[in-house]
Amino acid sequence: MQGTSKKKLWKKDYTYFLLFTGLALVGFLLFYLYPIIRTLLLSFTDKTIFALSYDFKGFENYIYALTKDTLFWQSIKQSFIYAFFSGIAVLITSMVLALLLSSKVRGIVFFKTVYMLPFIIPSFAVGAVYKNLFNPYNGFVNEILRLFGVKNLPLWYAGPDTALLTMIIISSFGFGVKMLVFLAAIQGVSKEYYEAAMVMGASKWRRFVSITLPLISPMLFFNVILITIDGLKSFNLAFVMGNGDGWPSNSTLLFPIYMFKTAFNSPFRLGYASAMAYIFFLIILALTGIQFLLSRFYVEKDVS
Amino acid sequence: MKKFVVFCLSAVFAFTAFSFAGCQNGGGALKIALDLEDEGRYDELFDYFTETTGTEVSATYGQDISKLIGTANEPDIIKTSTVDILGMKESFLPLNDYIEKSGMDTGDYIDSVMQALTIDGNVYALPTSINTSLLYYNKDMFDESAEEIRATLGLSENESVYPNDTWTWEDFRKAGIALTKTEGGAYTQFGCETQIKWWGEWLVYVNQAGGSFYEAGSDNKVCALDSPEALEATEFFVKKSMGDETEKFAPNAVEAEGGFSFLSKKAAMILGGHTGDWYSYDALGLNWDIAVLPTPVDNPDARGGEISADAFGISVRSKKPDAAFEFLKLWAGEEGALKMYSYNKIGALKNMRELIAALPEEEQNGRDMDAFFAAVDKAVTLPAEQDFSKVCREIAMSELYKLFITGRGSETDVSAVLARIKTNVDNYYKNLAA
Repeated sequence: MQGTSKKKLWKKDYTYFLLFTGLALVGFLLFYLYPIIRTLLLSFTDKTIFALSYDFKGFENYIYALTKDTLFWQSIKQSFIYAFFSGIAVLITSMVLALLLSSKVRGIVFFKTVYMLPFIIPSFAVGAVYKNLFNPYNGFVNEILRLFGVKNLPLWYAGPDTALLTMIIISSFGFGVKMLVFLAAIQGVSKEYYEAAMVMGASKWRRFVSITLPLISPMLFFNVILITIDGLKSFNLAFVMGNGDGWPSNSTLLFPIYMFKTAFNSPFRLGYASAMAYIFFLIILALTGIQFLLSRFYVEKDVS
Repeated sequence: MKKFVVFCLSAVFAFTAFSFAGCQNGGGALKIALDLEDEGRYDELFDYFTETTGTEVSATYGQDISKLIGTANEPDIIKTSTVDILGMKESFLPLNDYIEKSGMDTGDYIDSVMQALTIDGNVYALPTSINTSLLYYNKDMFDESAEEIRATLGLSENESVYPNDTWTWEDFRKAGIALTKTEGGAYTQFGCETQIKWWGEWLVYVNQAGGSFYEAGSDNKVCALDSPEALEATEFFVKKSMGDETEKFAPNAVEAEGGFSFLSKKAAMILGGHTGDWYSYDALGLNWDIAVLPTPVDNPDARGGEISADAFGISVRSKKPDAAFEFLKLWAGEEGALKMYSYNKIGALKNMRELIAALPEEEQNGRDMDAFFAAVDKAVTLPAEQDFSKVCREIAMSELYKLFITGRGSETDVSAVLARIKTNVDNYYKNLAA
């Protein structure tokens, strides 16, 4: 009797589970799982977008990308440089802002809103605005530098040696969600710890290093993962800054842009782009694994 | 509870069904995907087709065709070009049988365009409009600098200061310098625009100088940019932007970011250009016209720039290939070409010049169409190589760009840059073949 009612209860729970997750599940299967599997299959073929038929090529696409395609490696290298430096910049800006916003000053809601604005504006629009600011000929930034008497003004996004750096500078303002994560974590730290530390005469820096940082380390780890993946798959900003073409001189050619160009620009090599996507996926997977290993050294397990 | 479950399941089902239904489009209409700027321009042609055949045409604008292929939204009529056809041909129905049945004569179209659209004897698309390299000029800016141009070109008061078919690169340069203005040491306008983000201008000079991108007989797999002709052409192209005051009449890469363009009325000429921009020039109220390209000094018979064509073919998956061909036939034929001429689309028919000349004056666009067709006669098609645009963008233009900046990352040795492009292009093809 009890077994039957347990079974009924399980069935009821399961029905609710399906009801509430059904829509998401259909979406996941159609728009994520199917493309993931199809991309894997395509990566072993010479399929182009406009071709009706295609041949199975084994690992040829993978071998070509890994051994012959110099632009593939250049785009990977640039993606890593971009992800690393913009990651650090975003981490610092989001942490500093979260610390500032967690302080009790008048008008804090206004500042919270202002700092969230770039996050709610489409990144294409943000990119276009920054492109104007960093215009090497008559942009605001160079006008300011000119006022200070700087002679050799930077070319910013127009220089092959400075375009990626410009993107990194701009991306450091993309703190939005990460700042909120830090803010929530900081606000979750009990005041008692700080009060005790203050009684013991700990400086602000000491309190940050010894209390705040260890207690928000799980969120720090979460943000590090988020920022790394965001940086590696960054597309919109590079698309705007490099006119969708890695301009100038392929210096803003991040991996997602190169993959997109390979698949959707002439000669439309979809199979090869799929192989590149999988290589990159494996690289990100490995990197995330390394980050999990490293997290042992800085993430506090017991924050209670 | 049961009712609630049924309701929820129905909702999920309905959502999924509507999602898929949303992918279906057009019903019985003939589907076509056009560029965003084409919105409204074809309505008259669609209406005319519907009136004469009873088949409706449903157009979408601004959608990337590469993302529609294989979907339920795939158009019946697909846009391609003489540049892209090699990479796209498998999605197109060969039109030979349709052409034969309809009595159409592909000989009515410009030969080089038709050759580009014919692969292994199969015609995959019909050309609807052409583009060729021209010298565009702003009449107002020329009028404002008429005195200086006359002085530098040695023209009398009665002679026109506008570019004409006798112009050489030297005349182009001299006039360009006369049209370049400064104020307080800063440039306020340039004689000519610089196109460094695509090959449109640079390759014109290379062709005109007698050079080519690929070596003849190499099946378009070996780069020929180490030739003296390519060097001469590229040096002219670079000096135009980076030379001293006796050579510079166009913006460098940084100045180009300052908005010195033909469109913004801060550059008096543009070499190469595109007929697709005519609409914008008119919309912005530019007082402009066209001339044939200036030729290298002592070589008035030099080859012209490039000729390319927008073309449309029928999807192999189309369920209405007959109706689609009827529409293509109308569009690429005389009637369609004349209807589209008012939107600055110039058909690829050999007799287009006569068709335009026969139009009432108010229906002619007022441009020097003799110059246009003279340029067409001298123009050459781009190499029939499916990786050409990729190689040109990713290897050639990305290296050439370094010649247009100063400071970090810049280059000054033109021959070294061309040699590097050749090495990289050759390696690209070797690797691809391997």
